Amino acid sequence: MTYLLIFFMLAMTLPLFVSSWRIALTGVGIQALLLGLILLRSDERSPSALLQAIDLIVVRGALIPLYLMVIVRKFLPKDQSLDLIPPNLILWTGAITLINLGFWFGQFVFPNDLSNLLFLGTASAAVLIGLFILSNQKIPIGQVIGILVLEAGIVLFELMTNHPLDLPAQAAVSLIFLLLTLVFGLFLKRFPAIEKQEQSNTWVAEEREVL
Amino acid sequence: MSALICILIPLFGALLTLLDPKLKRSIRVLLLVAIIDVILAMVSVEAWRNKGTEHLGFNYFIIDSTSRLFLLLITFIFLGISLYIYGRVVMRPIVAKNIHSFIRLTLVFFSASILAVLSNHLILMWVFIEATTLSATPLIYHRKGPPAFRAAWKYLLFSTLGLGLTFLGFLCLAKGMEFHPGTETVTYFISELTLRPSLTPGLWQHLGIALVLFGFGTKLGMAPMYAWLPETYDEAPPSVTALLAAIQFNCAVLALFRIIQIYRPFEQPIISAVLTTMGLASIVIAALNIVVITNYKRLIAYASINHAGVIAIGLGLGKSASYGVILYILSNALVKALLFLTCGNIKARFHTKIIADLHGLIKDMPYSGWFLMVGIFALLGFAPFGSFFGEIMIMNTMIEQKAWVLFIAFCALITVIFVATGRSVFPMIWGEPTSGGTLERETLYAVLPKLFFVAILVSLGIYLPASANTFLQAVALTLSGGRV
Repeated sequence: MTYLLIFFMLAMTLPLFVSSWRIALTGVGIQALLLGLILLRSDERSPSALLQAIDLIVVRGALIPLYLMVIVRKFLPKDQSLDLIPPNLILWTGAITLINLGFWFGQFVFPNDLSNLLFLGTASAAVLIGLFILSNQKIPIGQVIGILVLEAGIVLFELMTNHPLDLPAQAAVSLIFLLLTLVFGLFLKRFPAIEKQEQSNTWVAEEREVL
Repeated sequence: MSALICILIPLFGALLTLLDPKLKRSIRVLLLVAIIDVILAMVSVEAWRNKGTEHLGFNYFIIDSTSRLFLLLITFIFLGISLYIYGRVVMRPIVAKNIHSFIRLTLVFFSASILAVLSNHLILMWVFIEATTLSATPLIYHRKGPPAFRAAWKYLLFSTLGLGLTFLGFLCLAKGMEFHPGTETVTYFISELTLRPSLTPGLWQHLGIALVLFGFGTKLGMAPMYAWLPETYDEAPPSVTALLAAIQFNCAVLALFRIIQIYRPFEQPIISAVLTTMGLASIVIAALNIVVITNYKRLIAYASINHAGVIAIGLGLGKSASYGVILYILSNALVKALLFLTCGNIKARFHTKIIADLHGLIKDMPYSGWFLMVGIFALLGFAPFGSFFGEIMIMNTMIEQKAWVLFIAFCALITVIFVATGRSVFPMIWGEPTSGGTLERETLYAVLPKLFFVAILVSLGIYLPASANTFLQAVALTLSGGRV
């Protein structure tokens, strides 16, 4: 299990230091795949766990990153850089400090249990890094990646608690996450047109008559 | 059972508008759904005396006094909003462009709101609140320009973040349940959690409570995560603002209610600390902004932040403030629906949201002028409205608990808001009319729901029938830690 957590940490941390939206989205997909593998390696074999594994591996691990990549590719060139956090020493130190803080919390809660310490430390670090990305991002796709990293941290925490949701609740959570990502995608598609409208001011007349 | 049918009616309506996209039929479907749901909600409240608490749908839904009250509240408000939309389409056919998708999403939003209100499962309640967010997001920028689009994006991001932290809080609460001897089984069913003999405080439970309160606080637009609210309420079409401010807001309040019902007996200090701090900070933010605001829709949006703060403080204070909090919540929902819909009428007539551009509304648009005036009085907590008595009861609890610093700060801030709002809004109502005295025809559809809102607002302050009073007391009792 430990090596999966280490890979998860790498998939979360590396995109912070590489200016590429493709690597960032790939990182998010790998995080979800690793979460799925962590779930499959546990003893949990309920229908709810199976559904969650499918959600993590197929939907979050493959479909969602691909869907977002297809959308983003239309308005961002492949080689366009995207810094999840501004590339400077202060913010890099900030990110590393947050990861340390996550592990400090893990050690505080589970001082004598290395497995849970690593689990909780990685989950807390992912939540904090997700918040850190969000607080530093103004670009919509960057903000979406921040949310996805945060969600990955929450799922990791859920796997640590080892209390799977009942099937209807798990199905509802998976469905709502999928819908959320679709709405994010719809917004990302419209942003370029909105920016053009902002420059041309053609929307003013129509805005007068609304419900 | 009637409460459960309430969920299906809007979904069926949404399906109808999908199958038969005729404009007149769509708008009639919306109105019909609203009327049927109000009737069903009234039947459900009436059944409370005989049936008490019911569990339906494999225990995933609970029909107790609290859910019945909120069901009745949101259905009445939805009827008012539907009448407003109907009136707007009748008066200005141009607004009917792309209305089918608008109505469909509105009905989905309404259905998700009812599901959230009736839910007996914390995670499913969370899912349904998220569903209201997803259906409301496209409504915010319906036929509007880039500012509304950006406001919708901000709303989506903040809501997702807030609800994400809430979900994390639920997981922490589940982790906390492991440490209670004899009750190790983790459950998210509200009715089971309220029956647990012991939920002994511990690190996970503290953390869970704090995250859940913070997350739902974000959904209510409370400080520090309030930035989305003024922009969204300002940029969204008035009917959507009313949906968010009076319906979705109350779904989030109900979720807070449920958490407090479960955890108040064991976690009062942390609930009190978090809610009082967030509440007071929200009132400070509202007061500072209301003093300098120049846009009447944003002014009411900041007043909503203030209201959320008052509700949070009332909930944080505990048992004796419960009845006052409920009165305040009911009044607050009606006032916001009344004011935002009135703002919509004013904006439609004068095409401005700037306070200084408007004066003499009472002569230009007599109904809207009066509604604005009455709404502002109720907003500021004047007698004889329910908000006045709600606020008095909350302040009385502060005195009883000898929370003098809180009491003084609360009084000072409420006074600032009172003076600043009056100074901004009253010149809009009186004075020389903006249009030189040309009367604007206001349809019955626009006037009727607002008249009804005003009647209930006054009734909450002056005269509550004994049966309604008993009903509200039953809700207050569950909020004080009584069994669901």
